[in-house]
Amino acid sequence: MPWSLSLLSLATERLIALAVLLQSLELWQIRSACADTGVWRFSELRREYRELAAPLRWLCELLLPYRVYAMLLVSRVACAAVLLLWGASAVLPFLCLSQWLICMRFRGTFNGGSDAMSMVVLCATSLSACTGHAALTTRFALVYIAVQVTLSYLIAGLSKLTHAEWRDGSALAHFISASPYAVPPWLARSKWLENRHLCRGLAWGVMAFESLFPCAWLSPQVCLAFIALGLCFHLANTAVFGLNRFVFAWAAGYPALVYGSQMVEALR
Amino acid sequence: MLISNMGMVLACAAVLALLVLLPRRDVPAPAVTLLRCFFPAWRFFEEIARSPVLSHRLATSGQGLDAADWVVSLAAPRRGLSSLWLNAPGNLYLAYQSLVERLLTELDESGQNPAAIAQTVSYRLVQGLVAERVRNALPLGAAGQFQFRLSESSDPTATLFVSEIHTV
Repeated sequence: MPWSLSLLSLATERLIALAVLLQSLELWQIRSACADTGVWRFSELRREYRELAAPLRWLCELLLPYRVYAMLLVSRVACAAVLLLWGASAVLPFLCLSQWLICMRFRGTFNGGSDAMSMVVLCATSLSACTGHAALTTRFALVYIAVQVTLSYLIAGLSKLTHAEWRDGSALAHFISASPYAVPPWLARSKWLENRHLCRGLAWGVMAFESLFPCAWLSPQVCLAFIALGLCFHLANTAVFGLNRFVFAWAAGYPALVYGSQMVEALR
Repeated sequence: MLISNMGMVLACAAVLALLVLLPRRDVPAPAVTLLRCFFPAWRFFEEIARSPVLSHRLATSGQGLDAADWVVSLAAPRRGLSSLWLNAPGNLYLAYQSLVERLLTELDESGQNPAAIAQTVSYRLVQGLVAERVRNALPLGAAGQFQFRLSESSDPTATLFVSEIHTV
């Protein structure tokens, strides 16, 4: 039974609200790093904002000094909670703008890919909200999110396939044992990392999952299977590398993927 | 119709594969770097790149810096089950590491020109990061001098860069 456009749109908005709420709570906990005596102090960062066009520079000068940044975080927590609990879509444009401002505060992104995926979902859902959830723009928003989610796996998988270290499994062993990520010591020193066949098998498993992700568009049933695998993949990355933000940022894109698979099935 | 749809899908996948395989060029414009959240590359753990280790040494009044030992500045925090939901210390550590990696990239681009690199935002932020750690290590009201160093993660004695001497 297909899920309706409005239900999938609602699910997307609630899930991105959860992602933004958790991201904002984390940033609040470490806000001293952006204080006037912190590492990302505004007095240093403003030198880079001179490279921006005048309107963007003015916006950064107005909203990114520490006190205003702290108020921005509090506002994000409040708005994300309102969206999550009561579905108040009107806050989405503010969440989108503030997401960009926070990325600027950290010179591009704070956490890399999770910021980028959050931005994708927020831009698309904001467009839908600004048009009163009109059917055409909501469809466009969900398809855009679904395409970006698919590309995120496909490009990651294909680019790994071009590297010999991934094909022979040594890259996976390296990232677990010798990368700067906070891998649990018992895992980083584990004997199984010396097992070349196991490492190669796991590496090919990751590459196969990522490269075959476009198959999620074949049918809603296949889509749900890939979503389940995706959740397991991101939870494993959280356990091994501490990349918790990726779970929620990508989960926010999964309802759009279901919509994409339903759309393709209806076209047949 | 299914065959023509599958054909379109395969054609799109072939185009994407070609785009992935084409050589890439980094766009050095600072404005593009600031706006990169709008231009996701979607390449994760793609290749084994140099991962620098940040360390520092500190000398208080009366001591020489050369006699001081290098100490690793950044240590990955321990994680618990709650880190699935909130992992602020872990994500902050990753952000610090990204800061150091960006400094190394800019060092490579500047041809390791110390005078030029010491004025960059990346150098100043890393300097501030180390200064914060040094201040926490000093007794209240004490002064000292410090230097920071970038070295290879695979060989901590292989020095990539040593900073100027700074006072705290």
